[in-house]
Amino acid sequence: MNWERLIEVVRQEGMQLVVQHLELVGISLSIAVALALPVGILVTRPPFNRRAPQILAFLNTAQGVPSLAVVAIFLPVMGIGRVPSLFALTIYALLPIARNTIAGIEGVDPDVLEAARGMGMSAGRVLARIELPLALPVIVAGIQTSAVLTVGTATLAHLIAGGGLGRLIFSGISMHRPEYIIAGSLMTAALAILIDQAIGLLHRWISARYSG
Amino acid sequence: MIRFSNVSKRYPSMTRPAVDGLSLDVEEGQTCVFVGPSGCGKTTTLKMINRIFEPSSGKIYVNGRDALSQDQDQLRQGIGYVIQKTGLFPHYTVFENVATVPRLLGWDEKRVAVRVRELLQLVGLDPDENVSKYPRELSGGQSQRVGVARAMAADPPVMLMDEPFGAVDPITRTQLQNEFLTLQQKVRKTICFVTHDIDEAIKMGDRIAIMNNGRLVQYDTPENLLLAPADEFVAQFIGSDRSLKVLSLLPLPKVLKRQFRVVRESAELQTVRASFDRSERNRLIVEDDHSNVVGYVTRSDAEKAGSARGWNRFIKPFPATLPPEATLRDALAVMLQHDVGAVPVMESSHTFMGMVYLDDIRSYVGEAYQEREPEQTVEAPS
Repeated sequence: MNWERLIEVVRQEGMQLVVQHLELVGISLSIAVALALPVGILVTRPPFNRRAPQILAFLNTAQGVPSLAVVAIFLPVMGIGRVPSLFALTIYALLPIARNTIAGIEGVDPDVLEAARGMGMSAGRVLARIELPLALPVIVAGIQTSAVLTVGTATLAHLIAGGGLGRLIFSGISMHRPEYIIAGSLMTAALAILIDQAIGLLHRWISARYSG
Repeated sequence: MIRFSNVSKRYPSMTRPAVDGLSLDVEEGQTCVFVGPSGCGKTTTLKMINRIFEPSSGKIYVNGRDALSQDQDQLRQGIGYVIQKTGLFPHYTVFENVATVPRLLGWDEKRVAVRVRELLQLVGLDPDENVSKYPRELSGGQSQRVGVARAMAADPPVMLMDEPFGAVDPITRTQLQNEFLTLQQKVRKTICFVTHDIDEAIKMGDRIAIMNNGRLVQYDTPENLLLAPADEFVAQFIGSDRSLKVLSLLPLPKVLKRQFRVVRESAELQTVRASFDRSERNRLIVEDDHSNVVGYVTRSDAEKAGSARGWNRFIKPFPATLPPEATLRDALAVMLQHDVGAVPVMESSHTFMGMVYLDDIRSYVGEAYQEREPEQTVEAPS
């Protein structure tokens, strides 16, 4: 193993790859939150809320589709590059957030809801003041799952020229250089752990504030 | 205050209506208790008042206004709502919970703060100690008190209570019931109260609405319900011990014997004997010089006593006394417990008011039944 060569590569490109990777994760995760949250809320409103259990079951199944397959499915349609990568990552990140939003809101104590409605709070107010705050810990847990998944899945973006830490890993594979693979994997793992911890901290703070 | 006019509620999945042609008036300041076996429609009835459930047909008036044509949220803001599991908002403090409706109504924060503290005091919670607590830090009884305070926050004329004391232990329940009765004496709200417990209904209600299979079977005062149940179902639902239950509704003054001879502790034996001569009773009440009752002396003991002052040692203290607000049930309980046939009634535990006798209770209850039992109709021979 040529460690000196590796250190040089990491020094030259490492920072750039990490930033690229973080961009992929950050952008796709933000879009995913922006889409999944309203959709998840919508599913819990009438008339869709009758179907909420079925929709939850569907989302759970959809999560089983392998990440590589998601990337591959969009390849013929969208070609390669950054945008298709972001698109695939976003689709993949949507599910846990939508799932947890629905589960979180559905899980709010029905007595609490009845009391809120019975006191004359409008449906919108109940959502904003009662349902969302009480579902927040579950929703944030969904975002946490999504974030960690996306950090891992984003390595696949390299396969469709999307950049990111995947480059180190896949170069290592094609050039038979295990040190590249190890370095790329370790950096990805470290990133995942960091993000997980950061959101975990936020989650604990919110749970302490908003749980019953 | 609250009027049901031929109200029915049908659910698509059910063959018979949950509530069937209900008509009933609840007068202002009264507590109406809806009671019946599960599935009788009592909860549905209650929740149609604040339109958690919408009636299928009929009219409901709250405060003289048609509830069904009003804005739903506005209607609800004017009706206090207490539910069994309290439904306190777990992410709000006690203060924020109680402040909910006043804030919805746009009160300024100063007024809200004053009102919240006043309410917590009213329901027996120390404001300083509790305003910043979260519901998870409260006991069951405390939670329910906060629930009641929250429902009363904007001083609504009407309150709906859905088995409010159903989820607490029996001791706390009795305590909450008593506090509630005292509170209701003060605030005089128009209250609709749902319970499945007939004893609670008898205790809490000015009027009781007994329901079965969605229909109103009898709507009456607790006394009438116990003394003259409308049909077999009501009689069974009240239970075979209804003659015992009625005792808790009948106040002591009805059977209180007030004419009593009283002697001073310091009196001479002659005076005591003279008092017995003028009385047909076998006991004299003995007071000290400050008119506090110390006990009684019996005729035979007075006859046994030798010297002028020596009769004092025959003074026996009463084993038990009753406050004037006690019921016949309390009186009977005390008599059974202490194995006596008579109990004195004392105001603030030393001013003598009279005696209650077991025989009088028996004959009084018997008369009450005879008066209210429906007359047997004699069938004409056909």
